[in-house]
Amino acid sequence: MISPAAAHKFELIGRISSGLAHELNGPIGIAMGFSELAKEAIDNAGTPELSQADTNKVRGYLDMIETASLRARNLSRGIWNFAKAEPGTTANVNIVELMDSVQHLTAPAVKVAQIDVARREDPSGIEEATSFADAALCQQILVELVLAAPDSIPGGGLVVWLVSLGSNDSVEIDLVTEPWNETATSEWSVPEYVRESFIDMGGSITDATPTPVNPPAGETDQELTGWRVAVTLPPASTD
Amino acid sequence: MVSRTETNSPGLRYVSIADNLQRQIESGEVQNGERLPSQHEMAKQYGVSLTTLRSAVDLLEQRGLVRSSHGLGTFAQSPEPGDDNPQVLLVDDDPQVVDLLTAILEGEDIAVTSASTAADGIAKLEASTFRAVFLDLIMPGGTGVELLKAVERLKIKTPVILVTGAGDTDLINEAMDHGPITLIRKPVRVKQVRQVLEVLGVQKQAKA
Repeated sequence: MISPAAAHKFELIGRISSGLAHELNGPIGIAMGFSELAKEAIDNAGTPELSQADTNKVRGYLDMIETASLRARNLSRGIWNFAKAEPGTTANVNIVELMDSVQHLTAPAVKVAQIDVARREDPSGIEEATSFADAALCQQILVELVLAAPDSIPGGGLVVWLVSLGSNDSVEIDLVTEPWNETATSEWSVPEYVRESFIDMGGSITDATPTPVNPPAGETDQELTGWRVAVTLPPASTD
Repeated sequence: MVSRTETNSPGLRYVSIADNLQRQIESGEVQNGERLPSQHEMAKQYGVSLTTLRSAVDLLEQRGLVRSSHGLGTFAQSPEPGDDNPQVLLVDDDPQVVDLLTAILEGEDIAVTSASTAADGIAKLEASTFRAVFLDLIMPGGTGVELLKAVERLKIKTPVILVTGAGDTDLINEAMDHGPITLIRKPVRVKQVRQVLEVLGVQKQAKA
């Protein structure tokens, strides 16, 4: 019998893969384009040996191909790691790194709705915040939470996140939707199984609450409203 | 005076007619400000339908070589000084796409200016004249459609080439509501970019 968490995960893999397939076009196209240019540069060199200038040019193209290939590899590695990770093991987890992975998994999927996922630049943000949590389950439900955001950002915008330390060394994740030019018409709804999973892990999650946001300069003069969700995770284990 | 010159170009008929008229304008055979014959007359001269001839005139207008005034006719415009090295605006949030297009365009002696958001692209379009705009559709802070709306509002004749991935169909349809566009699907192929540059006449004068 498949567990509800596993059933949700299959659905998430489908949604993430769809965004990923679209996103992979980018680096693949880059690698193909620079391959064409590199071959042309070699064909047009006209002598058995490449001049220093031609060598530099081809090397530059190969560097671009390598960068694009690494980007493609990271995209596919992200979904592979997500697919194979099985909930059930609790350990100390750096939640900042976990949120980075959630960002990379969800950003391609929400991009088609003109939404970007980004870490908030804020002095109170930290690089390491360890929680004793089920990393696989935590990643899954955070992915689900972010993928639930687009309905509340009708005209495009951002989902920004920030990790900080709370009271008693608990770890807090602040997630805010920031519309660019249209105020939210529907709520950022927190799926029930996401809420229950956080509670099962010894954490909690608030309901989404309306929050004023500053639209990008020049985009609109009207005041916009986004949604804020706060997640609390248990502190690290010292055992 | 516009002279008909036979072209053996295997390409589209309206493109070869536009190329032929472009050569006459650039060589001075057709003077700056000179009124071209009526479109009916030119269609007859070239032995093509009025629709084909209109497509050629539209293309020349996109190339900035003629201007049409309703009820008055179509007038030749000499290329502006400095057009020997045409400038192209790239609007894309992916720096590697910008790098690839820059490498292709610079290989054709075309100068490149880039912008990573639609708002930045609009600001650059307002500040300078470009021979073409390569535009991504999905970008943070606003879609490429915002830039197309600005092109329409500012009555800019610069041709826009949408460079976009599959799955953006709704946005492409929305984009098409804001004037003529040329579409290049990602992954971008070098040959395809060069073909578009050729059709739009965006090349260094010596190479054209």
